[in-house]
Amino acid sequence: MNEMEVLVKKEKEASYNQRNKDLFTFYTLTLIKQEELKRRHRRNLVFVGLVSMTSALILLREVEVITDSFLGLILNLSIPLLYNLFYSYLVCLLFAGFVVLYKRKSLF
Amino acid sequence: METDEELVRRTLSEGSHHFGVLIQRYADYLFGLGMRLTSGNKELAEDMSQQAFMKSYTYLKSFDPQKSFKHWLTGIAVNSFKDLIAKENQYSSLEDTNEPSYTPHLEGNKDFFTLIKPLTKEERLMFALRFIYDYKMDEIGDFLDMKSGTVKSKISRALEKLK
Repeated sequence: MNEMEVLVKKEKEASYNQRNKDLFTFYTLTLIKQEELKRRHRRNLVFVGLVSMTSALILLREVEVITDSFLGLILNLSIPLLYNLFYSYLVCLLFAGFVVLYKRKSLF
Repeated sequence: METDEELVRRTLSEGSHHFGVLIQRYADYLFGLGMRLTSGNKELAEDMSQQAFMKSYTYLKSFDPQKSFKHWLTGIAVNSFKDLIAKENQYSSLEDTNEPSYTPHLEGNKDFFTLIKPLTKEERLMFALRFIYDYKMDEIGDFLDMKSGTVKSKISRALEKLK
């Protein structure tokens, strides 16, 4: 038996013990749980992201309809109002013009 | 006493607390393997065994109950060791030469570690698996994702270095 074989045999017989095995187990299990939670959290985030993207896509398809109807409503309400306002403004302007002209004549 | 396969099954169905029994059962074995692969670096050996347990839990679903859990765990530990080496090399290339270097606290059979000192980390790994743990060439090849012929030639080259 040469020196190498003796050393290998000696090493084979040697035993190594993990110090404080209970603490090591507890710590490793804690790390495992932490990793598990992190993975679950990531999975949930992906799920929430997908759900919100899907709902956003569905809503975006309807957005045109929504804006159309919303804008349509606004226009339906506002156009006669704007017409009336503009017409009143024109009448007021005309009246003011007449007043000014009349006043000028009376002044000079 | 519950078998390893039973504990794996219970871990998968009931939760990680059953895995604690497997950690207790193989903590010394993986620590010993780590000590031999790192030439007695206690901290690295502990890191390696911890990473191996964490990885084995992550991939527990892929464990084949027809095979030995110890053998499967050894494969994972070997890969964790390779990852540690890769990480170490990455950091050593970034190390500032002016900074005081970290000297690991070495323990264990110093004669054996002195014997395998001329070997590269990969050769040490193969040497330990072949001669300390009596794994066959094809099993070592499986662990390292190599052909058994390659393992054989690398081990004989390592033996040449030690003569």
